[in-house]
Amino acid sequence: MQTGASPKMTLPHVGVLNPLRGSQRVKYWLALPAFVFIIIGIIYPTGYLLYNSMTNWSLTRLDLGQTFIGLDNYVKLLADERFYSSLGITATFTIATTSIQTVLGVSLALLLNRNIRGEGLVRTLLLIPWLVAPFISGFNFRFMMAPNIGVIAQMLDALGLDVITKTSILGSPKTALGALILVHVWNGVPGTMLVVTGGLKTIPEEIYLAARVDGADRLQLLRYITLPLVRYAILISAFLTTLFIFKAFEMIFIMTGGGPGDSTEVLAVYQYWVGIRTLNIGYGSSIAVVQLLVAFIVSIVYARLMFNEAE
Amino acid sequence: MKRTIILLLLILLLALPAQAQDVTISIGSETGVHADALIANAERCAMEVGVAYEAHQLPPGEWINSILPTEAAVRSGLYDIAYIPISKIPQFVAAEYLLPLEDFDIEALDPDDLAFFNLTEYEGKHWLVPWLNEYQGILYRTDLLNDADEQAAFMEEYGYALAAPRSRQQYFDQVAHFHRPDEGFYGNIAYGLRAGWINILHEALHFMHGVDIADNDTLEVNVNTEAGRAVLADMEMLYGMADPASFTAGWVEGNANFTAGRDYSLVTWNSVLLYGNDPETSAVAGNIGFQLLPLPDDEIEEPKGFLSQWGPALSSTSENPDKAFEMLVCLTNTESGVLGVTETTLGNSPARISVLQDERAQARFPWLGDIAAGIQGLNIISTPSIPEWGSMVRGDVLPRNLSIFISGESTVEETAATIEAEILQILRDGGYIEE
Amino acid sequence: MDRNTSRANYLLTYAIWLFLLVVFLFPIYWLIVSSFKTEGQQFAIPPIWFPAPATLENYINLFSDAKVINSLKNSLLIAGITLVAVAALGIPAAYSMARFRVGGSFMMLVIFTARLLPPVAYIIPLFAIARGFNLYDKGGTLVALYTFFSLPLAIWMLVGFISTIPDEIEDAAMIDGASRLGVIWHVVLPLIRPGLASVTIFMLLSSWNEFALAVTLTARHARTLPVTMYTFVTNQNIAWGELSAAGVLSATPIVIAGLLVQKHLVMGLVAGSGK
Repeated sequence: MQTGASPKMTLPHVGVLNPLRGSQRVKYWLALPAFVFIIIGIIYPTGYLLYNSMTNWSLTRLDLGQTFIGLDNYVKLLADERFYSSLGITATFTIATTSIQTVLGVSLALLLNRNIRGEGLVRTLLLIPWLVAPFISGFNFRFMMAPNIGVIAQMLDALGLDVITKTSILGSPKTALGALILVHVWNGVPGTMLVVTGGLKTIPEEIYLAARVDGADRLQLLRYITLPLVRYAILISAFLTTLFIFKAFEMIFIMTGGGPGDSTEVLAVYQYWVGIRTLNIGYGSSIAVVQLLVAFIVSIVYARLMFNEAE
Repeated sequence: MKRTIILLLLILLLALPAQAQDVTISIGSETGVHADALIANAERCAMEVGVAYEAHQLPPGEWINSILPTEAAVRSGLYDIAYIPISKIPQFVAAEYLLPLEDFDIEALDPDDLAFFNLTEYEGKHWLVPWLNEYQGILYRTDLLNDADEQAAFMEEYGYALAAPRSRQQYFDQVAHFHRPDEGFYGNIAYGLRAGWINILHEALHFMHGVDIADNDTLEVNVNTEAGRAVLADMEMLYGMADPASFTAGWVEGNANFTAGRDYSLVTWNSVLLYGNDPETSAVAGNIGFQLLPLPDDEIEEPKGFLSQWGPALSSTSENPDKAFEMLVCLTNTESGVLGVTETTLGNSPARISVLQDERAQARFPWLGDIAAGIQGLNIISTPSIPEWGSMVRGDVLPRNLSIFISGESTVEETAATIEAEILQILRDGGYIEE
Repeated sequence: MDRNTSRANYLLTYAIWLFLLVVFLFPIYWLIVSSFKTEGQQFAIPPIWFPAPATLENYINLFSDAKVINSLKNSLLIAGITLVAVAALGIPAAYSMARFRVGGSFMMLVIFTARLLPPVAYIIPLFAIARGFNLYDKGGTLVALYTFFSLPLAIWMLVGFISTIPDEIEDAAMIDGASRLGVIWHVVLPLIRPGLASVTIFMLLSSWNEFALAVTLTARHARTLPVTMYTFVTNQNIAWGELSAAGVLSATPIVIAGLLVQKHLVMGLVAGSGK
C-alpha cells in the first residue's frame, strides 16, 4: 500500500533556513491533529463500550442503576444460542455478498474496459445504485419485493413463477437471506467495479502487445497478465466490502427486521435488537465488543495479505 | 449618542419578547398522525398559558425506543412534556422520569371525561393524560358483507345470516367464506414483518378467547396453556387464509393491501380508519366496517378489548412543572381534541368522550359515534405493568417467536413453550417471581 | 483494445450493456416513477409502469414543507463543512504518513479500527456529552462527528495517492525555499487532484446519508435530510410517494457530483489501488 521511497534525503543544505531540519518536527505536527482526533475518538467510545459490557445497565430498568458485574455478560453470551446462530448468519451473509460482489465487480470492470465508445457513460450510470441512500433503497426493495403489490413479485408472476410470489420473497426463511445478499450486491458492486477499473487502467498497453506477439490468446491474457496485475486492487475492494457488509444494518433492518424468524438476524441486527430495542445496554455492548473483535481479526488478516502483496 | 440610543432600542426590542415569554415549554413526541394532532394545538395553548414552546418531533421508532429512554437515563432536562404510550409508564416511572398528575390540580383535566383514564394509573397515581385511544378491532368490507349473492351463499354454507362479526367463530367463518386465492382475493391480511405489528393478531386473539396474555397481578403467563395454544392454532389458521403479502407486511404493506381492496378483513387498530376511508388513497373508502374485538364463542362474563393509549406526560426534569401542567391541560381539553380531529390532515382517534360525541368531530369521522357507543361496556384488558413487558416481551420475545412460528419453522407447542420460557426468564431476571 | 472486434461483436456488447443497465437501474427507475405517482397509484395491481399524467404533488409537498427545506440546507452545510474539515486534518496527516511513515503500520491499523465501531457504542455517551456541553441540536456537533468517522478512510485513500508522487518533485520545490505546507498546497494537491475527487465522493456518501447519529443528536434546528425523510415512514400508509421523492431529491446532488468527477473517480482510484 505504501510504496513511497523511504524519507532518507541526501540533499545539500541550501539557504539560511534549513528546510530539512524544520521538516523533522513539522512532519509530526502535520499528523498530530488528525491522530489525536482519531485516537480520542476511538479510545473514548471503545472504553465506554468495554465498561458498559461489564455492567448490568438496562434502560428498561433504570431504577436498578448500573452495577459492575465483571464478565457475566460474556459468560452469558458464550451460552447464547441466538448469538451463535447470528454469528453463522453473519458469516454466510458476509462471505456470500463479498464473493458475489467481487466476482461480479471484476467481471463488470473487465467488460467495461475495452475502449469501446460509450463505455464511460455505462460505467457512470452503473454507479448510481451505490450513491442512493441505503435506507431509501431498503424501502424501495421492500416494497418492490412485497407479494401482490410489489412490482418484482408481479413480474415473476407474469413469468409464471407464482410459486415464488405465493411464498413471498422476504417472507420465507428460504429466500430472505438470498434476497438480502442480492440487494447488498446490487448496492455495492459499483464500488468494486470502480476500484478494479482503477487497477485495470494502470496496466500498460505494452504488456498486452508483447504477450500477443508471443501468441497468447484472450483467456491467457486474462489469466496470466490482467488478473495478477489487478490482484491488489481486488484485494482492497474485497477488504472494504467485507468490513462494510460485516456491519451492514440499515437495509436488513428495513427489509426484514432480522426475520422471518431468525433467518436474517446478523450480528449488527441482533446487537440493535438487544441494545436498543430491549434497551439492555450491558448485554448489547458485550455483543458489540465481540463483533468489534471479529472485525478486527478479519482486518488484520486482510492487512497481512495486503502487506505481502505490496512487498 | 445616536449609537447609544439605537443600542438601547435594540436591547429593549430583544428584551421585550424575552420578558413576555421567559418560560419555554419543550414538548417531545414522535411524528405521526396523533402526535401531529396534539402539536397542532401547541401554538394556541402557548399563547393562552403565556409561555413559549418548542416541539421536538422525532421518528416514531427512535423516539420511544431509544431517544426518550436515553434522555431518561441522562436526565438532561430536554423535555417538559413527553408524549408516551401507557405501556411505557412503568419503565419511566421506575426511572423516576415522570411526575404524577396528582401533584397538580388533577380536576382541571376533567378526568371523568377521559375514556379509560384509569389505565394510566400505576402505583396508585396517574401519569399521563389520554390523547389518543386506539381500539383493536376487525376492519371488514361492508360492500361484500351486504352483497345479496354473498349473503345467500353464506346462509347456505353456514346456516346463519352474514352480518358484522360478533364472535370469534363468526369472524373465522367469514374469513373462510371470502378466502378465494385463485381470484387473488383473500380472507384476511395480517402483519407479519418481524416487528411490533406482528403482536396485534396474537394479542387480539387472546382477547377473542377471553383471556389475558398474562395476569397483571399474579403475572401468570397465559401462553403455554390450553387457551394460549388455541390462540396460536387460530393464528396458524388465519395466516393459512391470508394474503401472501402478510408474511412480510409491516404497517404500510398491511394497510395498503387492505385499502387496495385485496382482502376481506384486517385485525388492527381503528386508526387505520383515519385514512382507509379517504377516497383519494383508498379503493374501499366508504366500504369499511369496524367491529371492536368480538367475544369468544362461549359467553364469558366480562367482554374484553384491547386499547392503545398515548398521551402527554410531565417530565420530572422540567424546570417549570406548573406551567407545563397548564400547557398540558390546554393541549388535551375538549377544544383541542376537536381541533385535533377536524383541523389536521389525517385527524385523530380521540380519547375524550366529549370529543367522540362532538358533532363537528363526527361530521368528519362518523365512526366516532360507534366507538363512543361501543366502549361503554368494554372491559379493557391490560398487559402486566412492569417495565420489562413493553420493551422486552412485546419488543423482542413476541415478535421474534411469532415470526418464527408463522414462517412455519416451529410448531404450536414449540412456540408456546419457547415464549413462555423466555417470558419466565425475564420475570425471574427482573426479580418478580422466584427462581 | 481489440482491433478485430466485428460489428456482430459490437452488437453483442451493446446488448450486454443494455441488459446490465436494465437490471441495475430498474430499481432506480422504479424509485423515480414512484415519486411521480399519487398515493393511490403506488401499489396498484397491475403496476403502473409509467404514471400518466405524472403528478408533481409529492415534490410540491416536499418543497412546501419548511422542515424539508431546513434539513436540506442543514445537510448541505454539514456535508460541505465536514468535507473541508476532513481535508484540513486529513491531507497533512496523510502526507506525513506517506512521506515520513509517521505512525507506521500501527496507526494504519488504528485507523481501520475506527471504522468498525458499532453505533450502540457511542450513541448514549455522545447524547450525554452533547446535552452536557450544550452541543445538542447543533450542526457543528455533527460536523465534528462526521469528520471523525470519515477521517480514517480519507487518510487511508490519501496515503495511497500521495505515495505515488515521486519525492524528487517535492524536494525540488523545497530547494526553491518552499515550506512543507507550501509544498503540500502547491505541489502535492494539484498532483493528487483526481484522488481528491474520489475521496470527496466517499466522504459525501458517508456524511450525506448518515442517520443513526443525526437522529440521536438533533431535534429541530440541525436536523438533516435523512432524519426528516425517516419521519415520512412509519406513521401512515401513504408516505411512499413523498419518501421516494425525498429519496430522489437527496440522491440527486450526490449523483451529479459523482457524474461530474466520474473520469477522475476512476483515475483517482488508479493511483490509490495500483501498486
